[in-house]
Amino acid sequence: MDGVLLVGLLASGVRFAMPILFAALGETVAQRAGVLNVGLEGIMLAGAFLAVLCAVATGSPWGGLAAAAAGGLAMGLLHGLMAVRMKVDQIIAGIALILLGLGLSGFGYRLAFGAGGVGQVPGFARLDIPGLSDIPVLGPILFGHHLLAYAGVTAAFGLAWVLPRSGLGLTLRAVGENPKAADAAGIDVDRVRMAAAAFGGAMAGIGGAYLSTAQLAGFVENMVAGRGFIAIACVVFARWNPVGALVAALLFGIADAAQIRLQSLYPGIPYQAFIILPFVLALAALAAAARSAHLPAALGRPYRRD
Amino acid sequence: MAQPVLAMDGLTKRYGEVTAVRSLDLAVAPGEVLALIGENGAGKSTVVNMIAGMTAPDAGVILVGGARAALSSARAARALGIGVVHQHYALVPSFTVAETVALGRVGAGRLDPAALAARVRDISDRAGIVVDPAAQVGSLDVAGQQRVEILKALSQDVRLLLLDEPTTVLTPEDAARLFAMVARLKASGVAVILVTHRLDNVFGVCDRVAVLHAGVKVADLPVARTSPRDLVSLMISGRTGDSGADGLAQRLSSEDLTLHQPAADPPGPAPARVPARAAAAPPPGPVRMGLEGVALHRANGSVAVAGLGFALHGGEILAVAGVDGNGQSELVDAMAGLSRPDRGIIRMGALDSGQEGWNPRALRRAGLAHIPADRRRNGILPGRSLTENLLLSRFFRPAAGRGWLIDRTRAEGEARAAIGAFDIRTTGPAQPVGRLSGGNQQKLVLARELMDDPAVILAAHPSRGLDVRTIAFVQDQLRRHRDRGAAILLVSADLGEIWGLADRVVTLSSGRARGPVAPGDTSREEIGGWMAGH
Repeated sequence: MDGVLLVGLLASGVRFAMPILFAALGETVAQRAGVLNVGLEGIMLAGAFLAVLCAVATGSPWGGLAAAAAGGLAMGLLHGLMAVRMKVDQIIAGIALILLGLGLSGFGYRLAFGAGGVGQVPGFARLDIPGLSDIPVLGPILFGHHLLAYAGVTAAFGLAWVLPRSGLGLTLRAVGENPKAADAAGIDVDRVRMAAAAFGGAMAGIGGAYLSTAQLAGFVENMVAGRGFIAIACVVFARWNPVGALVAALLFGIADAAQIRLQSLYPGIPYQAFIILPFVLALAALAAAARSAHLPAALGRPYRRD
Repeated sequence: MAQPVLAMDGLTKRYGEVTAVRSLDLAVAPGEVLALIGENGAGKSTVVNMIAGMTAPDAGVILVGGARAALSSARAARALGIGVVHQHYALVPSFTVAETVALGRVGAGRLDPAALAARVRDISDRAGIVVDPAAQVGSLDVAGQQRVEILKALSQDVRLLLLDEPTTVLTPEDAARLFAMVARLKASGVAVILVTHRLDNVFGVCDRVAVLHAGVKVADLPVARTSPRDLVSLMISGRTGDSGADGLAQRLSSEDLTLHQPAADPPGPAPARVPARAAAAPPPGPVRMGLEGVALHRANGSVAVAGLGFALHGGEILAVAGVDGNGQSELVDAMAGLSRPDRGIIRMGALDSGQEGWNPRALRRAGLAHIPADRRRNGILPGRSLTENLLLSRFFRPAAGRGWLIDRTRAEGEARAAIGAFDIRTTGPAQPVGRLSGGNQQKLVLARELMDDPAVILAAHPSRGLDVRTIAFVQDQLRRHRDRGAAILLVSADLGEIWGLADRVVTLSSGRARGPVAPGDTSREEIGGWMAGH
């Protein structure tokens, strides 16, 4: 593989990583607060669809982004309502979200755009950072992306500060580690968890919007194609650390970009063998991480006073 | 009495059919140390939770400083100057001490580590508690974690400090340090409520004592006007002069209970001391189960009991007497194969606790039966039928089915037979067990555990919470199996039951084991005294 190809691979790897990164950051916060949302896939699909719908309607990708974030927030709240308030099993509530997102986005897309689909979708423009994007090799990889990509990286470092070093982070961690201790300290456990679930949902919605209006331009049924699950794998692999999630998302993004290139490099090998590459990586990463993982002690457990 | 800091008026709390606390009136004045005592399950924790703002009462009011208080949350309680040190510490192990104290008391913004540490040092200086603000909570021992809890409680101005079972896990030195702090707070006018079941705490530092029995306050009087005998009796039976606690006063001379020197009676573990004159001759039956030098730790790592040794013989009922929480549950768990002793060895036939295969299944195969103390949690599956519950610990017997399949017809036949033999009041074998009354649930547990004629029976509080008729039935069953040749370990806090059933008695108290003795060679006074920890 020559240099140009490698730069292209890494640059598109960064792009491919972003939807996963947004979803993974939201899930990191939710899980640190004890809320497990396995329904990221469904929320990302809803976000991808809403982003296209509203970008077309408003003529701006920002309108699409806002709609995707709002829709994701609503689905996160729905998850919170089921898992936090009603104490439904969190896995089952999450699976309900996957099916809901899959159905609503596919159906809504046909309803809105008919069988012919949508024509031109207003997408995010690339934001080349002046000066920096002209640096050879590093420029195209790091400084030739959509604005959203820089926002995602900033969010990862921001959260890496908030969680250990702010009062908000302290509250979130307490709720996820020992809700009883948080309750005893006068914190409304369920409210914090609802907020965390809503944040997680909104971030997954943004991840979906990135996919349909920045990475690609348009909606295809089931276009998230497992990225929601990969995002959950990233959270665990990164041991609930936001910067770790960034690294993990980049790893999966690059793997995804590589498998597409490998498909065309080796037409003799069935393409399905390459498609599974990121998932194999996820499985291996989880198997390796699971051994030493310290998950939030109250993850997935609804809090009830006794 | 001066204006009480806190007054409870007609406080009632129900959980389903169970009334945990029934119309409780209780007040505590500034500078007063009130002991709230009672057995496990007497309702103490419910009272604590209501004062702490973590449980809402169903009826009655709490007055703080004479004004009706809405203690809807821990924050509300704290705002009124109520500090609570919970028995089961509510701590986040991965937090530092400074973070723990900051939790719920700081804004959402940046945490200033230096300011937080300074605040911790300030509180700990005022309270006379030594603790490193940077230490990780999970790395501290139980006494250290308790200091963090106290620090949390004192981190704002407190008018009332509530200590829930603070000495259960402490060494004598740590307990003395704790009581020195209580004395300082008392002197500064803070009211203290000490929830405990340890009498030495009561006589060591408290001014007044209130006794809860089955959710009802059965006594409320100055410590100077009561005696350990009366308190033991009130805790066990709800009235003074219960035979089980009789004569304690003679055994407990006043110098055993020196006021203001709580550490004079160390609560820490000590090896078994068996008075030679009281050592009972072992009964004639073969040894079915034996313990040698057994030490058991609680889940939090503190020593529940040390140096315990006895042999359980066929054809005897060996009673383990003691107020709950002194290692009984740890002992039964270890003997049932649910855990291993932390030191020493337990043997049953060819099995011993050092082996890989020390588990309930293997022990049950070898003829062990276990009637657990908490039948609702550990004895039954409330949503499943009588038939299924009867199979629960027995489905793996070859007779239970054919190959991998369970013989349902046979199982239902057994259920019908058990319903008849144990007089279980039910609509039939298919009824969910959760619908039965507590007494009938216990009969079902008994039927399951006894119907295969086990060689060893572990019976933990088998008649607790039952009506008189069912108690008699349970006791008759135990006698019948003893006479058949079974070896029975009976855990009970009821001296009446022990005297009626037991051939030998061991007491567990404050980490100490005493006995075994035969009831004929001792007196209820002596056993009662041992139970009280003297």
